[in-house]
Parts: sequence; C-alpha cells; structure tokens
Amino acid sequence: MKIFKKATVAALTAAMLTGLPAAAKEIEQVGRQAYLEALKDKKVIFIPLSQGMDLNQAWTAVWERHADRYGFEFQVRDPNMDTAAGIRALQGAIADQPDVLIVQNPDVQTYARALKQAQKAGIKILQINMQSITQTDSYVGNDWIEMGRLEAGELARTCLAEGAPSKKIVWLAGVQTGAANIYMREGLDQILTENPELELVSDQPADYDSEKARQITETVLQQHPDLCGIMGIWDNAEVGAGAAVLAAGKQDQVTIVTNGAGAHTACDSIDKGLLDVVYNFNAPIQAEIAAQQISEFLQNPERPAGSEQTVFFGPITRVDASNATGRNCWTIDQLK
Amino acid sequence: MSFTETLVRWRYRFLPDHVMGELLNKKWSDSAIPFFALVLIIAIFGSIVPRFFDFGTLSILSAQVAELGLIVLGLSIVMISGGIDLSVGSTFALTVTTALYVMNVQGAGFTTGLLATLGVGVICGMINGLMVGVLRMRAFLTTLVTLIIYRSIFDIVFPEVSTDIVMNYPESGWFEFLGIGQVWGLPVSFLLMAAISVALHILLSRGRYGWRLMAVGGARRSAHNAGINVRWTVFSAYVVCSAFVALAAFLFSARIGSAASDIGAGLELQALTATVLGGISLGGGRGSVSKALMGTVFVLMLSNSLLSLGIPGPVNALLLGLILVAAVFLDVRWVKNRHKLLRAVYVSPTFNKMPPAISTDEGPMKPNDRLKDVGVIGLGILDGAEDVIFDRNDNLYTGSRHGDILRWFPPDYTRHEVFAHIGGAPMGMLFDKQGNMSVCVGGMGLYQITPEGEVSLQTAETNRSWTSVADDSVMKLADDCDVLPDGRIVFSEATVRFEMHDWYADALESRGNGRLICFDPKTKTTRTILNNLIFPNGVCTSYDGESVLFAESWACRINRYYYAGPKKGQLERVIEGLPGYPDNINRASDGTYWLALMGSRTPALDLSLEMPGFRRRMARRVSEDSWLMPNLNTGCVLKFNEKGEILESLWDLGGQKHPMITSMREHKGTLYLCGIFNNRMGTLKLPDADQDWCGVDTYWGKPA
Amino acid sequence: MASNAKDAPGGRVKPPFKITQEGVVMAIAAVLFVVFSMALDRFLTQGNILALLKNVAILGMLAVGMGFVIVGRGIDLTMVAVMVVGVAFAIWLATQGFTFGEAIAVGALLVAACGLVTGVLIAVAEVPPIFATLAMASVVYGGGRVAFNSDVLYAPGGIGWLTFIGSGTVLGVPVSVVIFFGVAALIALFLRFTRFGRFVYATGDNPETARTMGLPSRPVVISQYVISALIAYAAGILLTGLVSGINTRLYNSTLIYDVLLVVVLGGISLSGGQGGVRNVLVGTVLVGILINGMTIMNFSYTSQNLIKSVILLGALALDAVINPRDEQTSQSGDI
Repeated sequence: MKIFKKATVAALTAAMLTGLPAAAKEIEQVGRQAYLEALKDKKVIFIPLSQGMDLNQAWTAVWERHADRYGFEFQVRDPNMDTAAGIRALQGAIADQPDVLIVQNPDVQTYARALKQAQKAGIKILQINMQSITQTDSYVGNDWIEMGRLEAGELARTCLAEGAPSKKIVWLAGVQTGAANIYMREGLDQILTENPELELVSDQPADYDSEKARQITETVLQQHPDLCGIMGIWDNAEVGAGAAVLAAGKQDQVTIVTNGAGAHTACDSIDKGLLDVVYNFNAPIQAEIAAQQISEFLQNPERPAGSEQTVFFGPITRVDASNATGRNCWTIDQLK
Repeated sequence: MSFTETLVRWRYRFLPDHVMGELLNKKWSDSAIPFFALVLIIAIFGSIVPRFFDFGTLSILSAQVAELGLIVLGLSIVMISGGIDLSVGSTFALTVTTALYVMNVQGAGFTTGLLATLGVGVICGMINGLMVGVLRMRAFLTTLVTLIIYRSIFDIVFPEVSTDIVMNYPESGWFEFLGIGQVWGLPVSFLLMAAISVALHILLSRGRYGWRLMAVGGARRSAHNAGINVRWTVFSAYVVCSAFVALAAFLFSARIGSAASDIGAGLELQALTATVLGGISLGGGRGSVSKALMGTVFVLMLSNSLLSLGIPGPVNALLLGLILVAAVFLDVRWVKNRHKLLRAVYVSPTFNKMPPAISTDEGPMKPNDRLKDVGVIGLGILDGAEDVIFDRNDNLYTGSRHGDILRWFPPDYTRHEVFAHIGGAPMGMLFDKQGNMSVCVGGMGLYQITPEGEVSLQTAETNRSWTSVADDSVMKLADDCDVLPDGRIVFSEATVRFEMHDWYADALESRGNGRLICFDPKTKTTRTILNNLIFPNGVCTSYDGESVLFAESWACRINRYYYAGPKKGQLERVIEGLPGYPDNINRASDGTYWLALMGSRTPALDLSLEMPGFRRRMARRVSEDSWLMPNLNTGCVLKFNEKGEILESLWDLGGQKHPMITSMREHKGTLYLCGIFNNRMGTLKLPDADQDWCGVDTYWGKPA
Repeated sequence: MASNAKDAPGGRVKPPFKITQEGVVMAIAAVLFVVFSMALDRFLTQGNILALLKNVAILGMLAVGMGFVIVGRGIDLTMVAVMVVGVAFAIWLATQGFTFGEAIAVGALLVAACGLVTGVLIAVAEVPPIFATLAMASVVYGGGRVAFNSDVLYAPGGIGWLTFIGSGTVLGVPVSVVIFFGVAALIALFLRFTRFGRFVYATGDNPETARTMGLPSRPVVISQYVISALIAYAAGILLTGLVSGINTRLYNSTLIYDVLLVVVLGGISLSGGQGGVRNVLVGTVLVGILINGMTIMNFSYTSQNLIKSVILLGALALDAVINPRDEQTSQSGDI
C-alpha cells in the first residue's frame, strides 16, 4: 500500500504546513490531533452511477473505512443508473450542504450545470473516474486517453504482427456521451492515425451490458469472420464479447482487450479465456488517492470551492493470464 | 313524549347521517385515498428526512413536479380516454434532443425552439393517435412499439448531436429564465405548470372536450352511439399527451441544459406509477388533474426522500413496487366496493313519529266498494299513467312510462294518439292560461307542451342550497304541479336524494328530502320555496288564489302554503294523520278537493318509523326486496274541504279495478282515476256533480 | 382482434379462408427468408441458420412463457426481473456455501414463489395483471438486489453441464436451441392435450363464464404465473450458460418489450383465449430472420431495432385494417 502511505504522508505534510501547533503535554503524533479535529463530524456525500458495480463497491469500502476511523460522515446516494434520479440526488445533496461532494458522472454534460451550482454554493467537489465538462476542485481517476492508447496499442501490436488473422478491430463503446468513452475514443483515434493500416470495422455502444456486447460481437463475427481484436471499456461487459468469441470457437484468433477495476472476477474471466488483457486501474488505489483529496479538502475549509483545480491519474496495470493473481485481483472483503 | 324519544329525535335532527353518503357520492371523494397517502408520506418523510420542509428543497421539488407533472397530466388524458401511452419516455427523449439541438446548437430564439419541440412532440403523438385512435389498434401494444421506434430514432440521432449540444450554450435569455428563473421564490416552470393545470382542470371537469373524453373512456360504445366522434377524440388525446410531454421536455432542457443517453428511459413506468397512485384507473373514464398531480408529488417525494436518506437504489425500486401493488390493490377494491359502501351508507333513515291515523272503522274514511264497478279506459295500453288532465275540448291527456303524453279522444276515449314525446316519466300536469300544458317529468324537470304538441324545457334547475353537500340544484323527481293565478307554476320535487325508481328507499328514510319549487315563466326564474318536506307530492292551488295545498306522502299529511294574502309565506297543516299515503290533489266541482291515497299505512312500518336504527340495519343487511315498504296495494280517493274536513271516501276493497290510485280528475260529471302501477284508467260517474264542470275553467274562467 | 379462429381450440369450425395475422407474419418471414437466401452470401448456411436460432433461443423461450400467460388473458412483465434475479440469487447462494446444483434448486423454489405471489395478486386480489406484474417486477428486482449487491454475477467455474448448455451441441444443434424447442413443445402439448390446458383457454376466453361454469379459474391463473416464472428461470440459466454470468441490469433493458412483441407479432391476442405456441414460434422465427439478415447486411444495433419495430408496427396496423374492431363490440378498458 505504497500509495496509501504516500497519501498519508502528503496529508500529514499538508496538516503541518497549515501550521497548527502540536499539543505538548502528552505523547502526541505530530498533527494527529489537528487532523482528527479537521475530519470529525464533517459530511461527505457520494453520488455514484450505481452501487451495483465492482469499482463503486471498492471505492465506498475504502471511504467508509476512512470515515469510520476518523469520524466523518459518509453517505451514498445511489440513483441506480438513472440519470434523472442522479440529477435529483445531486440537487438534494447540494441542498444538504455537505463539506465534500463526490460525483461519478454518467457523461460529460448531464451534471455540468448542477456541479456549477454546487460550486457556487461553496461545496467542494471531487469527481471520481468519470469527468464532467465542468472542472471542479479535483478529479481522481483514469487517464482515459492513455487508456485508449494502451488498449488500441495492444491491439495494434497483436493485429499488425506477423501471422495475425487480419487487421480488423472492433471498439465496443460504453455509453457514447460518457467522458471515459469520449476520451478513450480519442486515444483510439490517435493509435489509428499512427497505424493507418489498422481497420476499425465496428463502433457500437454496448451500454455496459454483457448481453448487448455478446450480440454485437456475434453480429460482427458474422460479418467479419477473420476479426483480430476487440477493445472494450469495462471488463464486466466484455465478458459477453468473450462469450460470443468462445461460442464461435475463435478464442485463439480474437484478442479481447478491456479495462476494469481489478476485481477478481476479471481474473476469473481471464482464466476462463473470456478476456485476454485487462488494463487494471485498481479501484482501491483510486479510492485511497481520493481519500487523500477528501482529507485535504476537509483540512482546508478556508479554501474556497473551485479555487484550485487538480487532477490525479491513478495507476494502470496490464493484467493478462501471466499475472492474474494477488493484488491484481482484489475482493471486496479484502478492502473492508 | 318520553325522554329517550326526545333524545332520539334530537339525535336524528342534529347528526346528519345522510351527509356521509352524499360525501361518498361526490366525485372528489375518489381522491380521498391518494390524498391520505400523500399526507401520510409527507408526515413520514417530513419527520425523518432532514430539511424536508426547507424552502430550497421544496423549490427544487416544484421544478421536478413541473416536468413530471406535465407528463403525468398528458398520460392521464390518454388514460381517461381509455388508452395508455407507453411511448412518453421515448417522446420525451426525442423532444429533449430537439429542444437542446435547436436552442443550443442552432442558437434559435425562444419561440422557434418551443415550436420545434412541440412540433416533434405533436408528430409523435399524431403517429400514436392515428394508430390507436383512427386505425383502432390496441393502445398498449402500439405505444409499446412506438416506444421502441422513438427510442431507436433517439439512439441514432443523439450520438450525432450530443457533442455539439455540450459544447454550445443557448443564446435565448428567455430559455435561461424558464430554466432557472424564479418568481416569488418558485421556479417559473412550476408556475407555468400550475397555470396549465388549472386550465386543464376546468376543461376536463367543465368543458365540452373534457366531457367527451370522459364519455369515450367511460363507455366507448355509448359515446359512439351518442354521436361523439370516438376516433378523433382518442386521436386528440394522444396528440395532447405528446404535446404535454414536449412541453415538459422543453422545461427540462431549459433547466438541465443537457441530456444523457438514458434520458426518458423508464419514464413511462414512473409516470404510470404516478397516475395509478393518484387513482386514475386503467380503462378510462376516471381521473382528474388533482389526482394526477397528487400521484406526481407522491412519486417524486418518495424517490427524492429515499435518495436523500441514502437508501440504495434497489431498495427504492422495491419500495416503489410495493407501494404500487398496494395502491392498485386499494384502487381495485375501492372501485369494486365503492357502490356497495355507498349503498350501505347512503340510505340513512331518520326519526319520523306519525300522529295516530284517522279512523277507518267509522266515519267518512270507512272503506266501501264504490270503486268496484268503475269503467275502464285504455286497458293494456296505459302504462305508468300517473296523472290525468282534460282540456276544454274534452280531450284526455295522460302520461306513459315510455316518456309520451297520450291524447285520448272523446266521447268514449277509445282512440288515442301520442300527443308529445318527452322522455322521462311524465307525472303531474296542468294547463296555463294560454292553453299550454306544463308537465313534471321525473328525472328531467318541468316541461311545456304547446297545443300543437311542441315540447320545450321550462326548468330543470333551481337554486342550490348552500348547506347541502350534494349539489341539489338539479331536479331528480319533479312530481306534481299547479299554476297560480299570475301564471307562476308551483311544483313539488319529491326527493333530492333518490331517483324515481328508488322511491321506497326515500320512504324508508322518511326524511324531509323533498321541496316545493316555484317557476316564473315571465322571468324564467326558478326558486325553491320550501325545503325539507317529506316526499311532497300533489300540489293544488286553492280557490281563493292565496295558497297552495300540497301533500307530504310519507308524513301522511296535507299542508297549505300561502303565497299571497295576509298570511303570505306561512305554512299550515290542513290534514294530519291520514290513514294512507297521500298523492295528487285536484279540484272538485263542488268547491272542495279530491285527494288520492296511493296506499294505506301499516302498523309495522309506522312503528319502524320511530326506530331509525332498526331501519338502518335493515337497509344494510337485508336485500332490498325484503325491506319494509309502504303498502301500495289498497288506496282510495277522498274528498276534503278548505277546512281540512274529510267528506267522503271511495274505495275498491275487492282490489279488482282500482286498488292503487295516484291521481284523479273530475271532468263533466265523471271522475277519472289513475294509478301509476295500473294498466288502465278508471271512470266513475258522479251523478250529483255538475255535469258541465271543466277543471281548466275553474282556473281561467269559461272562454268567451 | 378476431384473428386465429382456426388456431383456436375447442373444435370450432374452420372459417373458409381468412387472412390472419399469423398468416401474414408467416408470409413475411417466408419472403424475407427467400430474399435473404438469394441476396445474401452467407445466409443460407447451416452455421448461420443455427446461429440465427441460437440468437433467438432466449427471446423465444421467454416468449413461450409470455404467450402461455397471454393465452389466459394475462400478461407477465415480471419475466425479465424473475429471470435475472432468480439466476443471480442462485449464483449468489452458490458463493454462500451451497453447491451449484442445490443453489439452482433453491433458486427455482424462490422463482416459483415469486410466480405464486404474482398469481395470487392477480387471481385472488384481482389486481389487473399489467400493474400487478409491473409492480412485482420492481419488487423482485429490488428485493434481489438487496440480497446480492452486485449488478453482475458470474457463475462458478467448472460446472460441466452449464458449459454444455452454453456451448455444447446435440447432433450438431446447439443445446440452447434444443432446450428452446423442448420447452416450446412441452408447453404446446400441455396446452393442447391436457385438461388444464383447455382450462387455460377457457379462462382466457371468458374468465367470468369459466368461473361460473365451475372451472378452477384462480388455481389456473396462479399456476400460469408460476409456470411462466419457471420458464423465465430456465431462460436465465440458458443465458448464464451463454455468457457465463448474469447481468441484473438486463432488468432495465427493453427485453421484456421485445418478448411481448414476439408474442403479439405471432398473432396471440392480448384479450386471451386465442393462439398457441405455434404463433410464438412464427413470431420468433420472423424476428430471428430479420435480426440475422440485418446483421449480415451490417446494420447497426440501433437501426436493427428501428427496422424491427417498424415492421412490427406494420404488422399490427395490417391486422387492424384486415380485422377492424367494431365500435359496437369493443369493450371499454380493453387496451
């Protein structure tokens, strides 16, 4: 947990820099008291896309641990994949005036106006993994363009190599207006420009649904029996693509590259041969970075919302059959 | 009078049992369940959700209510018309895209944007309407398919424009104002929706279009047969619905300024839940604006509260599902059992102790057989002849149950023709100075028939009494009428609480449910002159031109009301304690009055009238045909004078010819007898009477 | 809709000739099949036809269950919810220490219980089926998701028969297709040759009369929903076999509408008492041919949806024109 240590050190440093005097009488870790006071009884609200996803569960597990340990209040308002409910949840959260608001955007625009309102209301906003066009105090999550480049690069390496079945690749998008989607597409486009011989034969949104991914893949396999590679946006959806490939008996021909939070289910899928490569953005580490951000916000209440806008990109690990073990495959219980 | 009896009397005078039934009868009582559900949810969440009643929270809620409310209103209109529109969510998605594209990307003005949005909505609605309304396809399936079609179009179009929408901002200031502007602290959109709701409420409850919509939804076939263009009415419902959805989309676009790819998905279920929670039932003909809005607020409050309590999304779905089941269950039960409940509660007998009956063992009321050998008119042709009257040319007029006035020709009254067709049940009749007939028609009011047989409505409405829960301005059972020397017509309305065929229920209640009404043909005004009469029936103006005599059937008495002279406005008892139930009163040739008793009192019913609780239990527990009813098997005709002294009585003890008598009329030495349940009319020669006497002449004098 | 008189049970006299919706749909399917066979290279191959059937196996199975309910004048909107939650619940149980076989059995019990509750709501409490099942779908989904809080659940690895269902073949035919036809045949025989099946038709044709005549209407209706729930569960197991896991998000998709459309397209009237499994098969085959053809022609997923539903709308409109409903005989509330 190197990152966590770093985060703690950063937090401590931040606390010291603010110049709070340490208590002298008892043995006291420097800055601890101030840290505890700064976090105590603060209120943090998280509006996810849906708590049904593994990455969300990882994040909240970590944040709940922090909240329990340092006595701030942490609430999850789950709109369950419904953006209309999400907007309502966001408005309700703004009315509640929390100290920090964590938002996972369904796409780049839907929450944009509400986030501005929240900022105007003096609430510090942390966007996690999915960005909005409204930039707020902090974004913690993936470098999605890099993610697109990594995945497309992986396919470029495989499909342009000697003996590849063809140079045809498929992009199984998520939700087309999603930030991750737009940026990954940008990364993909960059690779496509760099490797003009690579042929993108299908670009359809699977809406993060494995069954839809399966159907699209099956369709594409009918059209292009010599398909070389598929890149996707979420491991849990791309297992559908993997199932279609497996059903067609083409698991050795088609390479499936996707990314995911690093849950053990992805490793299982790799073991079953449904997926080939998963770029693991390790949700628990993302959550720790975000926790660092949260504590920084809480320790600096005097800083106005939106005055400093920072971006933190989390780690990305390439996981394939060779390293689908250990910390690349976490379970929720390990995080609690 | 014993003490307990006094108590009972006061209890029934001051505790108005009948109000309960009338409340239930009110259309708005339908909204009671959703209303209490709403109150309950406000109470529950108001106490556990922080800042529930904050102005800010309510203001946000009101903006959401504006958008969802419009959609629910639209869906309600379709559901009232007997259909369903599942495509509202997809229409919403399409219209939001239109609004955002036109406003943000094209930078169009406010009006252009609004028109474009509404235009797309109306087109969607027209497709639905054409399919469901005009082609008569099944609403559920058709809109299910259009749901997918519109959604697919959205799925194809939206990705093309979504980036542009995000990168541009609308230029219209009005659009901005519509989205985030506030007036009196409330969002503009909410005020707009409130105004539309009020207008729609008036249209639905009082407008021609609303009534047609209700008619089509409530009974499609009847509406069709009544000449309503069912197809286009249904068509219009879908168009209006989609226009409402488009307006909601415009408000949404103005407020949020962007859209997600799942916009409007599942909206149809949310809207449907709101309508059902509001109590608008599938199948049509039932629903109102207030119900739709209550449902909307309920749904939004519930999901907002659950969200802000941090309850996980799935639990939210679980609760919403359970509430939906409960709501539909209650609604189904309510619709199914409401009339039973109403039936049980509606009949509310009251205390009515009658004075002892005038003796029939001796005196003028002693039964005899003088009607045993009466002559017969129209045997088998007459059905429901309640009253009879003659014009100066000796033509006999009488009503029939088929809604006709029949004219029988002298001298033997064997030939007849239909003088006029009115509909309803013609009852008491009179001739005014000009020779026009006025007739009371049960369920319809007072009608005039010219000598040529042209029918026109005189009055069907009187002033509404302010203390009454039920709207008593409409006439339910106009019964008998007579004309005053100045041309005004006084008529009785037997009961305002029951239809004609439920007369026995009114008898069971024996409350003063009836009234005396005066219609002035000169000013065309109608006023109620006396209220709380117990089944007022026969009306007859006295010879002196100062008062009218009228009977109160279930109270077995005759009253006199002075409309002129020194005692003007006073009410006087003329006869009390009649041995039977008095019906029509008419003038006799010797300056006295004929009175028909339609049936005789029985000790059991008389006793039960003093036991309202007993009668109420009977009404609730015993089927109607086993209730205690007034005995209408044996009646008589009697004659009384101005002082109220009974002079003689005519009976048919054998029960062969005229056991039941509702009216009688003397004309040129013959007494003609009517009974509403008889299939004939009787004639009795009166050898001692004036053989040239014609009733009309006693009112207006002999013609020159 | 007065279609399908000839398909109706009870030995009614066949009308001489009548254009029914089923006939129209069958004709469209045949025409499309011929056109695609000639125009499209890879259409008329054994592999493609099997892929076609496999693609509609789940849809078809759900449609058989739905058709079974609709024949009895009901509608079951809980099917997708029951399918995903039932299977997900079984998988979740398997992670809680049960063997997968036990878990599947317990899941079946749970699913049957869901069907029972829905049936009781409709038959005894007399809640209209649309609302009862709509609400129950929400309840089932919400309740299930409370138990297991992930959207996506993966079947435990190494279950031989599950893999077999997903990717095995019997005599060259994918197992999923075999199961689909098996279920369809079972329901068809059941409807046609058992007393209970006749009761279903009678109840669907005129529930009040059926009840007055002394048929056990309520048990019939309840068991219909139990059976449709079990069919949905079977479809769910099939789905799990295909993609090795189940995504409960499927509940939010338009799958249930697709199922309804297949049933109605085949010519089963929502007013009950008419049609049978054959209609479902006709509808399924048309949808299958359409999807497969459009796939080969490289239509995008969304435009496939659009074309599919426009054709459905056309079929419905055609039926409305051929068999117009009479204002005098139509009932209020008959939507």
